[in-house]
Amino acid sequence: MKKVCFFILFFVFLSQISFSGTYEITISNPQYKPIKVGLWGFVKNTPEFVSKALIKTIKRDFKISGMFEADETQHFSYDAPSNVVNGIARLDKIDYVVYGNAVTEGNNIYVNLKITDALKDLVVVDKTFATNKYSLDWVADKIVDMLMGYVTGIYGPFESKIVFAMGNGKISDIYICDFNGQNVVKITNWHTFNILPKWVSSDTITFLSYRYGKPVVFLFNVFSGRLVKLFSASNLSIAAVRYMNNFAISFNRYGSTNIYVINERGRVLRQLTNNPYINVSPSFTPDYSKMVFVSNREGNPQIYIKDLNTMSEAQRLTFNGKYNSSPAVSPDGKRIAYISLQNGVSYLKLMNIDGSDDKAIMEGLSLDSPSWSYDSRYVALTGRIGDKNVIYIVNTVNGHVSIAMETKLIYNGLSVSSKLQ
Amino acid sequence: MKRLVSLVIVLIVGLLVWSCSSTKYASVGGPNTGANTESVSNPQPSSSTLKYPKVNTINQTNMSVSEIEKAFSKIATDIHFKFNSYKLQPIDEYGINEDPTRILDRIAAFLREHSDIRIRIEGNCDERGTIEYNLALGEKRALAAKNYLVSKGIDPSRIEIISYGKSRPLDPAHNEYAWAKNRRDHFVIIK
Repeated sequence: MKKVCFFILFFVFLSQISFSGTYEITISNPQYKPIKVGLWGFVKNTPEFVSKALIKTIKRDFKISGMFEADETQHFSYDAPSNVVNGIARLDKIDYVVYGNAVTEGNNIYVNLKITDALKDLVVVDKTFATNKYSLDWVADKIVDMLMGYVTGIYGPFESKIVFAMGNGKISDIYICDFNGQNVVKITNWHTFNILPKWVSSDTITFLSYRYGKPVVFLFNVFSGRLVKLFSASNLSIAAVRYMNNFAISFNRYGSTNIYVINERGRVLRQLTNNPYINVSPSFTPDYSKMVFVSNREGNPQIYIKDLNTMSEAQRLTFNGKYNSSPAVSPDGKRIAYISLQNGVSYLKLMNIDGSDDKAIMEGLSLDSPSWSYDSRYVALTGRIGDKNVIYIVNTVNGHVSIAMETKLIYNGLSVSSKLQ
Repeated sequence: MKRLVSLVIVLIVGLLVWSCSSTKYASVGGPNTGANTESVSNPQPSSSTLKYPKVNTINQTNMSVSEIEKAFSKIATDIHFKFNSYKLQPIDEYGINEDPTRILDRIAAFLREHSDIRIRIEGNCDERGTIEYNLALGEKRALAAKNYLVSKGIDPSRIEIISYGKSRPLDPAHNEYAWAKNRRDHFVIIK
C-alpha cells in the first residue's frame, strides 16, 4: 500500500513539474523561442544598396540579440496603412513588424521607418532618419535598439563599439568594430605589441603598448587621434580603467602588483590595494563606492570586493574553483561577470555584486576579457573554437550565445563602449 | 731462398718508412742568407708541440658581441614553471625535465665572467587564464629568476624584467605539452 501511495505521489510530483514547464514562459529560460518580427520594409521604393545594407544589419543584430527572428515574407513601403500591416501580421502569427522605405537626395539618404505592435494594433515608432551611405549600419542598429526598447522596456545595446587587440604573437594592434562585429577599423599600425584596450569615455581608450620596449599605457582619442602617454613608470603596468575623473591601474612597485589611482599626467594619487601578492583587474560600481578585483593573496586568483569609502579589508567573493579572474561589474552595478577555470575548461560566470546567485552561463575554451554592454544584458568576450579565435556576444538573460567575429589571430583584450551618439 | 726474400721485404719496408718520415732537420751550421754577417742565435722552442687555444674558455676580451650572444644563448636556455606558479622548482612533466636553478647558476656564472653585459628576463605564461592576471604572473616569474640571480651576487641593475603574459606563445598549440613550453622565462642580452 505504501509503495502504491509513494508511486501516486511521485506521479503527481512529475506531472506538476511538466505542468509548470509548459506554462512558465520566462525570458531566462534557455529554451526560450525567439520573437518573430516581420522585417517587411526597405525593399519597395528603396534603392538597392540601401535595402541591402539595412536588411543585412538588422538581420545580423536580430541573430546576435538572441531575441528576434526575422520574417521576410511581405514587403511594405512606409505609406502602407499600419492597420493592414498589423492585420496580416496577426494572421501570420507575428507580434511586431518593422517596415518602411528610403529615398536618396544627393548624398543624403532619408530612411522612413515604422515599427508596429501587431497584437495591440499600434504604431510604436514612426521616424525618419537623415543619414548617408556610411551610416546605414548605424541606422539599422538604432532600429533594432528601438524595437528591443519597446519589447523589453530596456533600450538595445547595438549603438556601441567594441575595441579589441588582435595579433600573431609578435605584433598586436588595436581595432574597433560595431557591437555586432561589423565595420572593423584598425587604429594602430605600429608593428609592435599593443594589448588590453579599455574604453574610458565615449571617445577615448587606454591600452598597453610595448612600443618602446618597456610597457607604456597610452590614452588615445579614437576620433581625434590624440595620443598621450599615460603611465610608464613601472616594468609592469596593466591597462588603465576609468576611476571617477582619473584612472585606476595595476602596476608593480617594490615587487608587488597593486592597484593605484593616477591622474591624466600619470601621477599617483591614491593606492587602492596594499598587498604583497598580485592585485589586478579593477572594476568599479557606477558610483565608484566599491571595487571588484582579482588577487592571489590566498594562494590562487580569486575575486574580491573592497569598499572604497571605508577602505576596509577586501572581502572574497568566489569560493568555487581554484582560478577565478577577469571580473566586470555591469553598468547598472548589480552583477559581476567573470571567468572561471576548472579542469582545463573556462566558464563565463555571473554573480550578484554581493557574490550571491553564482552561476555559469557559458562554457568554452580560453574565454577571456568579459565586458558588459551598456544595457547590462549582454557580455562580449573572447574565446577559441578549434584553431579559430572568436568574439562572443552572450545574452545573459536567456543564455543565447552568438559569434560576432572570428579569426586565426590571437585576441589580446576587449572592451565594449558606452552608448555612442 | 726464403732468407733472401725476407731480407728484400725488410729492406723495402725500411726504405718506405724512411721516405714517409715528415721530420726534416735543418742543419744548424747552414749558409747565412742575410746581409748581416753577425751571428744571431735562433730562438729555441720551449716545446716541440704547437699550442692551440682552449676551446672551452670564453676569452672576454677577444669575443665579439655576437659571439657573446651566441655563448649566452647556449647556456641561458628558458626555464619553466608549473601552471599558475612562479616558484623555481624542478620540473619533470609534459616533455620538460629541468632544474631551473641549475640553469640560473650557469647564467649567474656567465654574468660574473662578463661583468659588462646586462640581460632582460621575459616572463611568459600559457594560454589558460586571463590576460591581465597572466601579465602579473609573468612578471612574478621574471622577478623570481631575477631575485635568484641577485642572491648569487649579480648586481640587480644589470637585470631588467618584463612580462608578456600569455600573448607571446612559443608553441601555439592547445595542449599540455605546448602549455608547458610556454610557461617560461626567456633570457636576452640587452645590447
